[in-house]
Amino acid sequence: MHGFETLRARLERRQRLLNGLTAASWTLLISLGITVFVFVGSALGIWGAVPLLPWVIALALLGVLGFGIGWLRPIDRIELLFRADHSLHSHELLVTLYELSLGQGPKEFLPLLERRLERLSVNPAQALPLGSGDRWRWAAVAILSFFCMSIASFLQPGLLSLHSSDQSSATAPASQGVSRASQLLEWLQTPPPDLAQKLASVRERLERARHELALNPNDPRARAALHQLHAELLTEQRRLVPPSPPTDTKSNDDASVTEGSSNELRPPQQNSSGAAKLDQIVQGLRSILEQAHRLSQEELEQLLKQLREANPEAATLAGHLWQQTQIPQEFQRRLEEVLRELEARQALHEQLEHLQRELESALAPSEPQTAREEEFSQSPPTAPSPAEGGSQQAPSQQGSASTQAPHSQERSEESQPSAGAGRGTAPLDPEAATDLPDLSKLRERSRTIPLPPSARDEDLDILFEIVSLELPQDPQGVSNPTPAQINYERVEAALEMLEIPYELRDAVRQYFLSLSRH
Amino acid sequence: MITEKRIRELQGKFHELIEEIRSVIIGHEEVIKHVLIGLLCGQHLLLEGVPGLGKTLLVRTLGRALGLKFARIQFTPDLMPADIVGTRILTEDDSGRRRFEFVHGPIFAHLVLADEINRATPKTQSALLEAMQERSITVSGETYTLEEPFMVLATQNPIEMEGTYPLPEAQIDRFFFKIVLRYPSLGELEQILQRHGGGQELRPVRQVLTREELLEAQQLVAQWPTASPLRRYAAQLVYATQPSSEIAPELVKKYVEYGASPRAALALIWGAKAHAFLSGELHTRIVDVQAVFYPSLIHRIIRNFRGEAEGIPVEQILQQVYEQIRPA
Repeated sequence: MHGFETLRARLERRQRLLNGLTAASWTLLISLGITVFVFVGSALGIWGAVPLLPWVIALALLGVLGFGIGWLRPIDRIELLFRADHSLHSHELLVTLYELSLGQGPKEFLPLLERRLERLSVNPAQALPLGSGDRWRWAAVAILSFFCMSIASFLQPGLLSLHSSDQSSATAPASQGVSRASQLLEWLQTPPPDLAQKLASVRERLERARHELALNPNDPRARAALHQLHAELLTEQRRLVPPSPPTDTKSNDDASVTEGSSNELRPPQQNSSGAAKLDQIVQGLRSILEQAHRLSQEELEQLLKQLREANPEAATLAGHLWQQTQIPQEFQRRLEEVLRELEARQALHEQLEHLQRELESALAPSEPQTAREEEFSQSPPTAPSPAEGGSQQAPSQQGSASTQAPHSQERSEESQPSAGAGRGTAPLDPEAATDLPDLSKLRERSRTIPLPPSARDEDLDILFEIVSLELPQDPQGVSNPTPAQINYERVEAALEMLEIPYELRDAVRQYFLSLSRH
Repeated sequence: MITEKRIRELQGKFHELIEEIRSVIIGHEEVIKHVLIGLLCGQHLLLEGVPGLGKTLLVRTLGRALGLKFARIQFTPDLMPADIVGTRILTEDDSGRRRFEFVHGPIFAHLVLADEINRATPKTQSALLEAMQERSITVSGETYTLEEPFMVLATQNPIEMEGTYPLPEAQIDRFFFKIVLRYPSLGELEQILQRHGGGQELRPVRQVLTREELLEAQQLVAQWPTASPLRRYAAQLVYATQPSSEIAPELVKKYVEYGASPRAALALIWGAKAHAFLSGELHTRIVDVQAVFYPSLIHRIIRNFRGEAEGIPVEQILQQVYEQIRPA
């Protein structure tokens, strides 16, 4: 009797579960249908925005309520056991036992039938399976849920990114922006490397290599050490710039390959463009932060929309932060945090750049003459566009560059400042270097003047790169000064091409003229 | 006290009985089973079949195997009720005193074979049927109770209907089952020829069951556990044969004048119990109800004029009922 009662209780629980699931499926089906209707109406602008979280909570509560009602529904035990008998092919044994246990029939048969039941292994899930109607209803609930989530993500793009940024990036361009913002935030969350010790070590190794090169300019060990340092600095720099979006990987790889083939010591375009991107994001966010406190919600969203054209990454990041917070004060606080993080990385990146220049200046004068000539012969006569990475050249231009005049002829040409074209050398000693205009001041000044974002820092970087690559940054450390070569043709072309403000253009030109005087 | 051991013993004896009958009767597996079901329920059966199919042999073999008193009555148009139930005759004792003495008719047996019952007049038929129903007879104001077990197996020939008196529907309803004997198959015919065609004597039938054991089995079957869904199913099956019922299938509504009576529902449940007993089970199942569906109902469906005119067989009507009504 005990065995049958236990089995009956298990079957009853199973039936209650099924009743609960049936009621919950009906409840969810109806409520999700209403939800779709409301969301579609909201998407079409028939009524206002729907508060998503309360809606989801209400749906869940309705489902639970439906389940509870189904669970508590009265059960017809005879019908239940008869169905279980049918599923188990036990030939009405359970229902007969139940009626005998109620005293309906000869009691003598009860132990006989119980013994027969013991030989029957009963699995409640097998005895009372989920009906096909329930299966279809749950499938409909799943489809409707997915549909509701899609509409909700359309209405509030940040919603799905909370659950699955990968999925959203694969579904819609809007969610790709969300994914990019998430990627940038993740990058910001990784702590910046502790570079103090590393920088000291690099500096020490750099000094040692310089000393060895001063004794023997062709010392292969010293040169190898400098190359090693260069690689390490590049790695550190890469960690400090924002990661490239997944779709840009191919173009960046292409750029890196091209650069590596032209000159392995030159910092890859990915780094310089990364630094420019970092600057761009910082400036964009700073601009938003300055205006955020006096803008309404609609104005802020309008601003973000406008900024998306000019500075997409800053706009995406700010938009993502706005979606997450939705409260102006909280948004400003988060924006300030992000900005602080970005500026810290920017400062570190500049330190590394500075060190990189020192390294290159230490290496450049000691390059074998043939290698230098090869390098120059590959330089284009005009400044490359940023998109080309500053290293791609047309074959015809290469040919014309390779037929440049020898070193002595260049000297005579550079003595004519008005010409402004061709190649010249400037004999740079430490004193001469100290007389040069302060580049960092020039850079700071350029930042204060509004320029088109697309042609501002990145192009100026190219310009500074052209110049600073050739100049020793630390005049005290140069024991054996050698003439630096400046491609005036590239400088002039860059001046013409870049949108440098009129008043700055003169200063830049004067700077190069001062170089030529030296 | 019912014990499983005793149940198994009785079930075993009935299996022996079946084997004993099979040693004489070739084929007719279902017929033997239905006859034993009728026996276990203590009810009367109507066997229908053309002559020569072994109806009489079956009943006689059954009587011998059970060790019961067996009587055979050949129904003819001139058969009188007294020829069945018996009559009072004037007798004279040794002292010369005359008195009426009741001479028992062949009805006073345990197993009565009423051969070709439809050949007797309705008056004689009704005398038999009354005895079947009451299990007692009254002659000249004196009532005689028939000894248990009492079972009438009436046979009827579906051909040679001329000069016959078909049983009225009300009287047919008193038969528990109507068992239709089919013509044997080729293989069965060959076996019959092999066993009975040589003129050799048949092996004497062994008694495998006593009268007391039969009565005990009948009592056991009467209280065989049957769940309420089965009773509901049986009721639905019978109810569906009524043309006015909402669950009646199309053929019933179209071709049936009167459906099965409540007696049919009782026959279904009792027959199912006995079927479960014979199957070695300890409780009644749906399949037991289904197994006795046709013999319980086939003689209780009365077709209307259209059904008879169009020659719609009752089996076809019942087939639709069986398929449409599912246990629930």
